[in-house]
Amino acid sequence: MQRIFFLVIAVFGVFLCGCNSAFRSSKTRIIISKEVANYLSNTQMIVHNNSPKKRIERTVTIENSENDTQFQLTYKKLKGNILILQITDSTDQIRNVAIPQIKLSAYPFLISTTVSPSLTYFVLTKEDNTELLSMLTVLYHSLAITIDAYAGAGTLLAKRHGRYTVPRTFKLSNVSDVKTIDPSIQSLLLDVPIPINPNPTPYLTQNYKKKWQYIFSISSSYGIAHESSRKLLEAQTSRVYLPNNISPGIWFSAGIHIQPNSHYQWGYSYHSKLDPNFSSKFLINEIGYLIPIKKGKLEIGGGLGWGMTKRNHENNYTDSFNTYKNKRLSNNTLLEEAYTFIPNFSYSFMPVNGHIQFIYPIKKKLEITASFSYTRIPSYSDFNKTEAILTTEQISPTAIVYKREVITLDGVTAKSINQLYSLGLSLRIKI
Amino acid sequence: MKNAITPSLIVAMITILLVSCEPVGSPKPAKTIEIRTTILNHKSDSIYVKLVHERYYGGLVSSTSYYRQASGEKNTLIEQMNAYQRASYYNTYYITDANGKKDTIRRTIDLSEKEYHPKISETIVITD
Repeated sequence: MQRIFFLVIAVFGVFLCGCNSAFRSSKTRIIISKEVANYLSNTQMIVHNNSPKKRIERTVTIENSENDTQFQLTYKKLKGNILILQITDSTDQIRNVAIPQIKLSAYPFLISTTVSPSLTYFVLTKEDNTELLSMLTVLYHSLAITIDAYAGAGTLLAKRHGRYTVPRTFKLSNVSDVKTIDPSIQSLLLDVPIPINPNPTPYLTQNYKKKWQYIFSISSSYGIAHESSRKLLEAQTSRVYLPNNISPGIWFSAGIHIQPNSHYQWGYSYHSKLDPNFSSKFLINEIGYLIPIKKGKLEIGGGLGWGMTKRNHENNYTDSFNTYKNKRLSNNTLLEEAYTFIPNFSYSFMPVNGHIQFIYPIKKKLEITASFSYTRIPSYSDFNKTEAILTTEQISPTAIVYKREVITLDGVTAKSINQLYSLGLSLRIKI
Repeated sequence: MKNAITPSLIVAMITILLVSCEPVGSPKPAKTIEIRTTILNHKSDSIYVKLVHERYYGGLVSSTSYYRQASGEKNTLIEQMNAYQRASYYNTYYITDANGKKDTIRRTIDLSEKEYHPKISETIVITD
């Protein structure tokens, strides 16, 4: 049940992470002023890709909303970084206006990038994993990649116009910018000025080109782990308490993130526990939504990843009982359960992370953050388990025999699920 | 087709490969049997021991040893063999104390082909 739950989280996490061209609006909108709308209402408009090889045209319509206060030109999406809006009035005077467009990026919504990683992880870490199951996994991946290759290529081809849109900050406000001119003045007609972004940002340049910000971060945090469940793998049993928790301590992390706009960032972060007794390292693919608060920003995010955990030191444990397999042993007989720790045995796992952090700029390209983070990580401890029958026998008035007979010797693995809560500080450098 | 191979797809494939390299399950110990027999002198004086050791394992092997054991001293005999083989061990101790009093102690250990008991140890404590 828990596995299904995390599979659902993984799939829906990707759904929520980003949209895809297949799910975007089929129309593009250009915001215009009321004056421009009034002027253009008596004209005919088309938009074309200005390509001498294969010219594609779209009809442009005027739409208004919100009680005639917001006006916009709409047209079916068209591929191209610069489009030409061609306005023709009733006297056949023409005006060409350059329209900037940006290319949108999206999470590749494919089987291999959604279902496959988590499905594979669960199959390969299944306790009764068989060669048949591994072979079926390989076959599944071959099939999934083939489907993805065709589906991905097909989607990109079918939705090739869907990735282009006009930046929201681009507006046609002045009638002089759209007013038609005499077509006999060829120089004025053909000399179409490239629009300039009056308010360039770190994410949209003066030429209306999209720009990504790259963020490098290092952080240190103090984490407290709450052990929410513990079990022995492979239906093993133990009557001795085997501690398997993660001690509180310092965690270190480093990350690289990409911020395509002011409200969204995604990237990878690597986390490691600085503890000689217990090693846990994981890489998380995470996304975050940014909310501006005064001078700073609040980021709410989360992610999934892949990690390795290894316990280096643990105690050995021994206890003795007067029953075995629920049957009482005879007098002078005890059953001893002894657990000898096996160090340095590695396990892979899928960490699940959620975090909230406040980002505050201290220089133009330098920021500090304070964060609270939750991560679900497992921990494992391996032991050699021995069960021994201890008997004491008075065989003569002057001789006592103490016999210890080991009746089972096996490896046992304790697995715990830990909820790690940590508070941290980090430094971020933006490029 | 080229565009369908995205960076995320490559990351997913690397993840799968790395996960598949990891061991699943617990380590399994080797299958050997160790038999350890110890005699410990808890008398106030020395004892004299004659040990007749017989082992039936694909034939009879027999040995006899004599030794003196001081008070508090112990003497251990250790043998190892592979598991799942039928074998019998007989240790007969003829013990004479400082006053000339004699004790005879015979201990038998049988190993079965079916059961696996990796370590068997016996400690015989001789008291006044």
